[in-house]
Amino acid sequence: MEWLIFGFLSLWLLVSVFGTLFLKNPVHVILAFLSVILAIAGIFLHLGAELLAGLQLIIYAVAIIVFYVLVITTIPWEKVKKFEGIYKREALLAVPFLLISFLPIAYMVLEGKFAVSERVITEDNIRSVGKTLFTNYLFPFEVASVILLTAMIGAILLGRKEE
Amino acid sequence: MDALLIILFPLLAFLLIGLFGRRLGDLPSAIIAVLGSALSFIFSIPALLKALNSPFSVKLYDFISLGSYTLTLGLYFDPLSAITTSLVCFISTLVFIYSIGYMENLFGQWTYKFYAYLSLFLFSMLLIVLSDNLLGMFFGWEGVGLASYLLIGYFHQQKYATNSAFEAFVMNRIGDWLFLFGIFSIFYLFGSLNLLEIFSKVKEIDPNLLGLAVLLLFGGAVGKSGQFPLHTWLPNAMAGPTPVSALLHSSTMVAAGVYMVARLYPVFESAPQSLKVVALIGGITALFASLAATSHTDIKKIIAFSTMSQLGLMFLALGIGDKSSAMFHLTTHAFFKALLFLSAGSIIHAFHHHARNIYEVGGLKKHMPITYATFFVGALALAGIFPFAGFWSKDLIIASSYEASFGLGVFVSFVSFLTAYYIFREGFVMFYGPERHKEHFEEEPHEAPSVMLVPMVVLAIGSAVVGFFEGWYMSALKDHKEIHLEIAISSVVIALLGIGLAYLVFVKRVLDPEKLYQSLKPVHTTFKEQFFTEKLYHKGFAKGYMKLSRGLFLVGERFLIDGFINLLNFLYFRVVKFLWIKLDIYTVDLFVNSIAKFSFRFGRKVSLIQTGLLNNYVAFLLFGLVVLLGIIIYFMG
Amino acid sequence: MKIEVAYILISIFLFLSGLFGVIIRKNLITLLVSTELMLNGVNVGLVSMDKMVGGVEGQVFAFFVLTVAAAEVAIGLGLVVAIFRLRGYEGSSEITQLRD
Repeated sequence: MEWLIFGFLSLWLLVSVFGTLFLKNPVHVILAFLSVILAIAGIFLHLGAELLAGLQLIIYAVAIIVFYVLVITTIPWEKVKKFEGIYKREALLAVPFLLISFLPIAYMVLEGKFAVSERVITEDNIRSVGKTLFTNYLFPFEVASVILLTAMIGAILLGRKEE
Repeated sequence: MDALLIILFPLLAFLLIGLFGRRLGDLPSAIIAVLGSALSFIFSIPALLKALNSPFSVKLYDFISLGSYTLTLGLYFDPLSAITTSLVCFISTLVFIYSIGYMENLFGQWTYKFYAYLSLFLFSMLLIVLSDNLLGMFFGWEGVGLASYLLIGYFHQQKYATNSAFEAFVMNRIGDWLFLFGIFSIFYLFGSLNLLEIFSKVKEIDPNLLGLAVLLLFGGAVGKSGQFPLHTWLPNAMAGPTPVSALLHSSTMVAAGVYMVARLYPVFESAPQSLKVVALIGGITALFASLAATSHTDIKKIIAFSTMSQLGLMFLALGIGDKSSAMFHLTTHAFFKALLFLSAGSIIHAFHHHARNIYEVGGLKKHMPITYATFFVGALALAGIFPFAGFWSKDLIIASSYEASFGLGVFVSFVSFLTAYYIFREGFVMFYGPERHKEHFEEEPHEAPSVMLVPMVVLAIGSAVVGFFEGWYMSALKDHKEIHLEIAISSVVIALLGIGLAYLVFVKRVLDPEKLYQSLKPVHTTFKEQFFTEKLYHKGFAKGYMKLSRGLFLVGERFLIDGFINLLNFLYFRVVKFLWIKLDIYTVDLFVNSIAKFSFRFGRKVSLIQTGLLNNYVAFLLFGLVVLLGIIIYFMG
Repeated sequence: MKIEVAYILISIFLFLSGLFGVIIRKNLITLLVSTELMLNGVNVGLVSMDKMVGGVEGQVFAFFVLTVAAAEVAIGLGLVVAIFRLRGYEGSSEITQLRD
């Protein structure tokens, strides 16, 4: 049963990733990416990280995709048309390297021994994540908000029209 | 101690005048010089008296000690040296006084130098005479040579004077060189330079070696006294002022050679062959000098040749074994030769130093009576007429030469005939006859001032009476002479003949000198040119030497050395160029350039990585990641 | 093989695909999309490790990654907009000024 869900989700993910990588039209790429996000949210749910799945959906599917679409629409289509597709040469060059990097890691993962913990999750995921976030990791939380602030300022600056 | 003062006075005079002459002025310097000489003379008298009975030495100074032998300076007074000392000081004083008058028109032109040189000369001369070893004698020898050079070239603006001074010095030098080798050989043979020690050991040395040493010493005398072959400087030395000629080149300095032979006579006697050489050279010089004197016309040169000739006679006398007559002749000769020079100087001075030739003056008898008288006293003494001094001394020499061999006696008589002839020739031409000076000079001749006349008169008196001291002189030198009446009369007759000839030719005009001169021109010229020795020396040796030097220079310097350097230069450049090509261009440059090219190309290729494309950069990230992974796996496993 | 391990493999795959996309994509926007893929891959890996070990730290970290990803997208797109305004085009081959 688990494996079934896993298989389904992985398949979904795989197809979407291929779409992201190889589609020509940027709008299609963004749509494929959206699909990826949904698949990953499913994975999160399957792994028992409910909060994260929700957050993923909110942040990615809503905010980030909207960003991308917004930016795409500001650019005239002719300009976009000029730069479509992929670099063939780099693609050919990179595939072996990717394979080379994938294989050892896969091997390590498969043959390696992982730490086994005896901990049992007793309470809700959301509750436990929330607790950890607001007690142990409060400082990074606040810092994250500062990062967001900086990003906001930066984006505004970048987006300003020259007078 | 007084003995030391004899030497010190002239030295002090020299130092005083030399250092302070500028401030003192000329006349005070002259007086200091005169005083120096006079005081030496005064102090020499008691030393003389003491030395006559018992010769004594005064040790002055230990000079350098060389292990077994010490070089010293000291004085030795024996009759010979003491009498000569007094003689030298006396004549010097008179000449110094004379020179005050002679040089007075040059006062104000640093004439104090003249007196400094004169005092230096006197000091060195006394050193020769009084020194008790050969080293001190050599010091004095050199000193008089130096003083002679300085004084001959005193009128240094005239080229002739400077050349003559140089010639004198060089010839003296040649003599000194021989003298020095003589000293070396003496030291080698005897182990000592002290005269007394030499005299005591003289019998032990092999005569042949001794003869060689002695000949070398005699070589020095030849140079100093102007004998053949080192004679050409003496006539030319007349370029100096007349007091210099009177003092140095007639009575004292040139006599140093004779004195030296007389001083070292025991050594000469032990090597009889050397005495023969001495006599030979003396004879040759005597003859050809008198021949030259008959044909010259320069006022002072005739007298200079006369000096040369008389010195030759003295050497001749020494050579035949008669030391005392030679020394006595030296003494009398000092008087009348100095007198003759002073008289000649008086004439020159009368014409304000313009007179040179005897034919430029004439008939001076009535203008300058005292000079006339003194000159003729000197001439008579030179000719050897009784009772003047020359008669006594020359007679002794003639007598000794007749004793040695008849031919030699005739020879000496002939020389004395010539002597009488030429000196009276000069006297008659200058004092009798037409007053030629009117054509040549504008000055009227006047008698010399008394400061000049007094010494002349004193010397004239001396020339007259010194002969009578013969007996005393001989006994002082531990010798005894008899007068051979027949020789005395014959020598006087010969002398009178000479005078008569001169009288006839030049006064009475029996034979016209001009025509005679023309007809005998070649003979005359040969005599005049001193048998061409002067030409030989000047043109042959001196010029030849210069040409040789120049030739060597051209060959050595230009050709060899410069050529060598240029060749080195050329080769060096060639080598360097070759090396440069090989090393630099082919290897180093090649290497460096190829590195540059290579890195340039490589860089160009590598720079293709820098596409600027973001995608590529990420790809490189991936590559790097793979490499890292590889490393990790390798090291892990 | 456990599920988690498979998911880890999936995460590695996602990451490398994202990297691949960055390498080959011409358009700047699609390039940024590939960057997001990478981040997502990391998130998956974190969460699956979390499941394996049994704590919640992985998720907290994934939370932060999410936040930063959002910020980064904002900046990146702002950059793209600026480039487009400046140049008039948005191809990565056109912004190669670093080469010179």
